[in-house]
Amino acid sequence: MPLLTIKNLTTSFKESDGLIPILVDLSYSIGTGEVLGIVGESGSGKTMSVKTVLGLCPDKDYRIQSGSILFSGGDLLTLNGKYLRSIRGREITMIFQDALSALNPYLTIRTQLLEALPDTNLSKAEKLHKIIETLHWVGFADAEDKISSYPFELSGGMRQRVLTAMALLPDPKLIIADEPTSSIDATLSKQILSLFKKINVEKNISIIFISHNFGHVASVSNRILVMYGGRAVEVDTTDGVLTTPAHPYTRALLDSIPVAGSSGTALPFIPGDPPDLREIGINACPFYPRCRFVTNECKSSFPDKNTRNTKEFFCYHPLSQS
Amino acid sequence: MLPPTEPILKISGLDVVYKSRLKGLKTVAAEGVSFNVYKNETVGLIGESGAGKSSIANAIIGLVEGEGDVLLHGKEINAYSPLDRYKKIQYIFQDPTSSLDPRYSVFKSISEPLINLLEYDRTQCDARVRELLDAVGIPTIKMHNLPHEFSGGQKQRIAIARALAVNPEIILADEPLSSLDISVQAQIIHLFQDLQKKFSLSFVFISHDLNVIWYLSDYIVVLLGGAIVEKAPKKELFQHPVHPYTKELLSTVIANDKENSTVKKQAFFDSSDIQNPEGGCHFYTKCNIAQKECMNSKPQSKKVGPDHWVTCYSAKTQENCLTQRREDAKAQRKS
Amino acid sequence: MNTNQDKRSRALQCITFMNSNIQLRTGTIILVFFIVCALLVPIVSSYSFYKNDLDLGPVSPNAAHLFGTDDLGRDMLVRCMWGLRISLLIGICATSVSLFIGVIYGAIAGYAGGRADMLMMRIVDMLYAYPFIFFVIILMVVFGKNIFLLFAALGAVQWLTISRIVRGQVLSLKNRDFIKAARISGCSTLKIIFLHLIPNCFGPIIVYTAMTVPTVIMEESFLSFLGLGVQAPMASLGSLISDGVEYMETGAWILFFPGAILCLVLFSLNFIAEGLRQKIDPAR
Repeated sequence: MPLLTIKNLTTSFKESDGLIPILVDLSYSIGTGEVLGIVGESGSGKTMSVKTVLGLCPDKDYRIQSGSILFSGGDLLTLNGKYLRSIRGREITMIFQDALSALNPYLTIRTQLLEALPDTNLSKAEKLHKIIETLHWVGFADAEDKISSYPFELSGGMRQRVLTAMALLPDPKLIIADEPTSSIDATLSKQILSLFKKINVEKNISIIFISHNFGHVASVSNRILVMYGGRAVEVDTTDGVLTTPAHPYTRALLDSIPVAGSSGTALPFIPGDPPDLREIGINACPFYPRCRFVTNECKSSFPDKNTRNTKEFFCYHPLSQS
Repeated sequence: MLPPTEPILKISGLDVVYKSRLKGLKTVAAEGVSFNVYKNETVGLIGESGAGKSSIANAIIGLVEGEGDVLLHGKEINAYSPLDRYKKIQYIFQDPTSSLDPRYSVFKSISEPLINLLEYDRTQCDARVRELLDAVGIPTIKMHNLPHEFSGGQKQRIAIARALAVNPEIILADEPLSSLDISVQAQIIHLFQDLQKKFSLSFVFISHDLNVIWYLSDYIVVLLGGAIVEKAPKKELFQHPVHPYTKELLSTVIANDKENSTVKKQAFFDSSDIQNPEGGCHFYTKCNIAQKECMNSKPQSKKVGPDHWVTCYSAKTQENCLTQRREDAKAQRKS
Repeated sequence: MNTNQDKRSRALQCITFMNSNIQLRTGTIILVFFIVCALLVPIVSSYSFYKNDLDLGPVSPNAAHLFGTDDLGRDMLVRCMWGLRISLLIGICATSVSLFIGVIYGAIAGYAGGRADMLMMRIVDMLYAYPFIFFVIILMVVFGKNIFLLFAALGAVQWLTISRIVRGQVLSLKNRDFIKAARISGCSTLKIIFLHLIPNCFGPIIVYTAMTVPTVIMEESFLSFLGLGVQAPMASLGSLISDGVEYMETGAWILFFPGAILCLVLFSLNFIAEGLRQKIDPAR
């Protein structure tokens, strides 16, 4: 029984000249104790899908047209505000991309960490004890001394750990990490990635890891979902996606990622630009303008789901297994 | 691979110091930076944020004041008038959205250097802008569109076209791929390689991403805390890194295939925690082979291989390095 | 490049823009209505705004004189429309003067930074403290009651606000990459200020302009009320109100109509300003 299931979610944004599709018939799920990596470029819908899960799209122009989000047996889309609030920040927590802007610059981190703890039956002293414990666990040295600092007094790495601690404090079942390594340097990224692995393995918390960096996603995830143009195009185990991708986009993306130390200097690239869903429409494969294998079918309808062992993909011309 | 000629740009002992007027505080953004840029070559400056890479580039082009010798074709760069300097060295910024005036059409943005530096008239501008847009892959029919009508990758191409406009000899590119989508980064890498061949350009390419530097550089300079810790030709650096920081950096390359993608357990290394001990080596607090002298004084730069320099007390001299390599190679052959 | 098509679509864009927000729509409709009246009514009407008709005297509104007549027998409708013309003219001219001075001053202060900026802004602070009304009175007394002097005086007071606004914008813009890129493209400081910085301040400048025009009209009305503004036989809405106060009990229409028009025009201008601010601020 998966922990979170998104089923046929379709959303769009209302603009003055029509609807812009954001998510199109999106379905994916994550099980208990699993790390699901979501890879895609900007506009692919990866961030919007999790924001919709958490109800973080208050914009009145954002329309959820159809679909359901099942968590703990209930559909999050039909819940009222109060119940949603008991889940958001408690059972499902989020780690945002930029630690500096995710923290309130006017409050000490002690105050913000206390805020992250729901009103349980713990006394303040017990809460603080738990906070210090969690900070130590995430690798934040001198927690007792630094807890009264303001965010700007901490280094980038420490801020990132504070955010991670905030996400861990309510003992969630699922943590959503939205591009946690995008605005930090390579050596710091390594630590953050090993921290996520630790969270998953030692505390059995599921993680949705969103990134456009394939290498980072691959190093922590059990399964990878590839998104493009608001749709899921391929999902499989990490191995399956990296070694035998079926969708041309996945293959092209993997080939186009520069890796230091590789032989040859010619880097294959995907021609064209990220998709404009208003031009392409939702009744076609969004990758067709940039795909080498495009045929007329691709332009007129989106392919049905296809399976191959553990892999699910949506393509009329999948790559062979070799 | 020894370059046959004199370098176009010769930098020695460049210091960039920011003085805060209010408190009289000095921030040393870069010190003692020395490297050369030859014709048709790309020098990659790699370092983490705060390492001083952008300050060095800004000082070379003249946006900030730097002390030390910067020689362009053998002549002190301050001896050139700013306009002459900009004709020879151009700059590409990190974020293409903020580097293009949102109210200027593509044509106007690219024509600006042509009008100011080369005194082109309208017809000449028109012809040249079309030529440049073709070279970077932007359809000329969109010549009069505004920046917000383009995607991020296209905007960066427009910025590149603008930098190429006056036919400079050197282009400084400050993290030009960082704001772009993954599927577009490879396109722009390809564009840089293409343009370098076509126009015989030299690049100084700044990035914190080692993978990107590998593809675009011939010579790599590693920066830490505003100072160069190691510099060498690309292959030499990858095969024989000497400085502990360089080795740490190389270990962060996470490949896509599964065997290399498991994150190895490393000692905690948070570069943003690096203190700047006055007078000492910047890597001291995190180095696992640090000695007492590393805390108190900065090491001198030593040559350890062909065009390969390291600033580290533990670095052996070139002869010792070669001996070490021969022994390592022997050991490898035996195993 | 089809420039005709561009012009037509731009006009259409303007109309759609003005229609998009309820404040903008209401304000624009009312203002346009009044402007049209102010322009056409005196031309169409057979009455003159200055010829006295002492036999007629003050007459309450009727079929012949829609707004009645004042104590000198002049048709109030025509007088009011003339008054509106003058008030709007003063509003636009004085605002233009203030824009010209303030934008350039603020841009130079912002771009220069450091000591020059500090000095320039302290001067603005000092001038802010100065009581505007004394300044205008002194000017009027020393140089006579000239309408152009009135424009200059009102404009010279308003520029302080716009200079602060523009300086603030320029401070935040001047470290943006495209300014550095302009320098590297060989732009001189003057070119950077006038071709890059000031044009990118248009948003706040437009909003400020929309707010200043009604302010200036109010100030001029106040001055005219005191007797320092436009002189007879010319009239502005303020001077008409001033004249009408005496007749509050006997000829209320002499006060009512100019007052009502002033109120409505100020409302409409303020609505437009508010609508513009809503569109420009959150949008970008």
